[in-house]
Amino acid sequence: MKKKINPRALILLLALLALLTAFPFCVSNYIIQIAVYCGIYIMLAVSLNLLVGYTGIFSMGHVAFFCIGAYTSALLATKLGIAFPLCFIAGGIGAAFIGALVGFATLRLNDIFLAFTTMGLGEVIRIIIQNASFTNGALGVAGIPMPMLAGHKMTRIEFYFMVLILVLILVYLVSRLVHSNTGRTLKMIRDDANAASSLGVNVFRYKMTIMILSCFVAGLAGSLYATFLQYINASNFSISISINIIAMVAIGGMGTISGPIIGAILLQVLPEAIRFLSNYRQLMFGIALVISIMFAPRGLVGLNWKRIPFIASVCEKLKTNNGKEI
Amino acid sequence: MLYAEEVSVRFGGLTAVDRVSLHIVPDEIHAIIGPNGAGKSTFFNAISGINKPSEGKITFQGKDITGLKQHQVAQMGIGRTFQNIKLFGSMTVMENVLCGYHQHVKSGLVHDLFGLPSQMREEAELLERCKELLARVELYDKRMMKANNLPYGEQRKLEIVRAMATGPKLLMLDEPAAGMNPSETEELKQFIRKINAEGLTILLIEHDVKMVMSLADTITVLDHGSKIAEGSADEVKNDEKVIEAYLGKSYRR
Amino acid sequence: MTMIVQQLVNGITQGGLYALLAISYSLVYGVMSLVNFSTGSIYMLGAVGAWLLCNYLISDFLLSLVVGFAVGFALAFILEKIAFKSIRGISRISSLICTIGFSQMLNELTALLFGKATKGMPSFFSEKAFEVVGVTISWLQLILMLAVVVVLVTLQLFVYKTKMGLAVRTVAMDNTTAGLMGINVDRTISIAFSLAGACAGIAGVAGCIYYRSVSAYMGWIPGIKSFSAAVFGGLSSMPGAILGGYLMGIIENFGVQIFSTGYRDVISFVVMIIFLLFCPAGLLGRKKTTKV
Repeated sequence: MKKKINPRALILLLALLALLTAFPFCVSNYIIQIAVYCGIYIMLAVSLNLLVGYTGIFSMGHVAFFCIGAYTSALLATKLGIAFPLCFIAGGIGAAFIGALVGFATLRLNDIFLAFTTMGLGEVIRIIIQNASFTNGALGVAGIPMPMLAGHKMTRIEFYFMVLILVLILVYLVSRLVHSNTGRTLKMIRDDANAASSLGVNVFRYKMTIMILSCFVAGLAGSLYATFLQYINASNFSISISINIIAMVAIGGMGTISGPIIGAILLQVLPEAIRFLSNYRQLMFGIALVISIMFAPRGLVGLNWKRIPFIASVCEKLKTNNGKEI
Repeated sequence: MLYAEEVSVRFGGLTAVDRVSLHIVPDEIHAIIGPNGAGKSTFFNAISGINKPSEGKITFQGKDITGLKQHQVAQMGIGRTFQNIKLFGSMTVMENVLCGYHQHVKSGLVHDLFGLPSQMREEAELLERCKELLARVELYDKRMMKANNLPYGEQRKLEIVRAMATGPKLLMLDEPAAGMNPSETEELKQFIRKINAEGLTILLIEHDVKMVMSLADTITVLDHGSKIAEGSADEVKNDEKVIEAYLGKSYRR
Repeated sequence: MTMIVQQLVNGITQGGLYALLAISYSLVYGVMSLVNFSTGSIYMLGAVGAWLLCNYLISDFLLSLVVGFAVGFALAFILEKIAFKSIRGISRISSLICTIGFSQMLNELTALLFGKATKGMPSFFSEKAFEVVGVTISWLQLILMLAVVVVLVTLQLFVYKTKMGLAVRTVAMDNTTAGLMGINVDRTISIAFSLAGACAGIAGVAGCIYYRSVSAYMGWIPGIKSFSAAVFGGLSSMPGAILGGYLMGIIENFGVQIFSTGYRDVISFVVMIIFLLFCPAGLLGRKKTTKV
């Protein structure tokens, strides 16, 4: 399979990259903050999509792993003074570890049981954090230091670039993964687990692997979140965050690469962009979720955009040399 | 090749398969027939690892496979298809067959994540092999179609091809002719003969007695969970117990 | 000893609420294989209905329950007609997500119209009924227990003794075959769904009277807990759901006694997860075997 890269598509990609690079220098601190949140939510949505969209494992408590990552990283940084890169990785590993435990216990059972366990886990963890002393209880963890970069504390713009690079790497890796044998195997399990195992697929092992991977990414996102916010509190990790992530994946398009990215950006930016909406953010998410499942069950990405003539012509131009032959 | 010794499967108090023994010789087409509820599917599933046998022993090529999980059985070299076709509906014909190659893929998660050269090479190789196989079974032209959009007969065929891609030594077909019209059945028969001639041992369950009689080398007849007859088509056809099981006592000669 | 009995009484009272909600989940799951996540919101709206009645019209216990029933029934009926009917064919994950969306929508809409603040309910039957060796049982507890039992028994009678109930059970087993047998599947699902909503509505009223507060987000926790209670009892079995609900209430109250109130929502949950790991089909649930 030789992929011919279309010059037009390449130019488009480079332009997008240039825009993403130039943009933080032209906008206010506040907008940079929104952009960073966008990046963090993209990580969460992409990781949830690996479970829900590609493997058909419905985790309703993704916030649990986000939260574990955030707290692991924050506590290591504030209590032990460990440097950011280590905290970052530790956040991922902490979440992956809990994810592995949950997966081991529930992935053999039916999907509803997993949905229920993960959802409950989110609440359980939040309540424990709110009550336990090592997490400072309801007070939260304050004074999480910004990472150091070349001898000075990272600025917000530098943090933005770090998140940007991480997101790009993540999206690249995930798109590699889903187009490989592993990705194909996950889709097999989603479509028909029984048939998959008749072809020699160890269904449980694959589910476990993807669970750990997804939780790892969610944990990393948590670490970024805690570090950027510099203060976290149990109320940052309520169940509505899980629902928001689900909404991003479902509205963007489950089981696609671009879907969760578009969903995350849309749901993160729209309430900010349209001022009067921001008070009704949660309501809007709910409505959007219902509408998208009822009228666009494959998400925004799955809609037939080519019906709009302008988009059709752009697609045509991009596709001319890019007929991917399989 | 495959020995089943005194295999029983019980669900609670119900004995679905009662001490059935079976021996499959390499390169033969072996059929299991029997009236509805005779325990054929249960026996089949006991071999392929969906139901655990309550008693008895199953060996395949000298290795004990009793009670192994489904994917382990598949990895031993036993492929199977399902009574109600289980294709991966969201994938194309090509992808379905690629899935069949799963156990031959060496690259693991890390290779796949980073798209290492070895993984790319392997994937390209796989694609070639897949195309070759599809060309051989005359599905090449339809390779980009969604599996669900194939006509019924070809869905069956695709499922068999997908199982063939796992590189099995024994292929188990669960009622392959179910729901087919006579011409599709005839085509299927030719197809099974062809893959058998290419060196694949086949075990099949079938309702269509006419098809089985003209296809199978050995036929095992089950009734009420136990084996009542075994032998070539002619032997089975004239067996009193078989006639009784199918037609009732009054037809006994 | 006194304490144990006291907690048992409290547990059974609370368990009754969970049982009502659990049976609501179980009923919907039975006929549609759908976990209706908006059950908690219907619970909340039942309570809001009762609050409006008591505050603006007449403060009456029985009438409140009737309002809860009506609100739950009507709301579920509408939801089913406008939404769940059209998504019946889609994947389980998508339909579950859709109910989450509805739940979110209803909660937020209520928060918008009703206000986010928690409001108090008038108290009914505040005096205690009797006290036996230190165990106090209030009239409220007694009446709530009784009301819940009456509703549960009526529902059981409906499902197991009437023609419509038979239709519900048939659809739960296999709705294609049920359709072929001349049962109006759409109508049956609609009725089962509405009844499930009514149960949740009544539970909401009972809940707000028991805790004496109403708020737009009050449905979350009971919704999740009684869902776990339903899974605990065996989602596919209605008696299982009832049993699960009561056990949930009892375990929770003992847990609070042993640990601290801060962990109220955690204890029962952890117990149930541990139990389910060893017995995934739940207490009375049947293990589902899919034919291959």
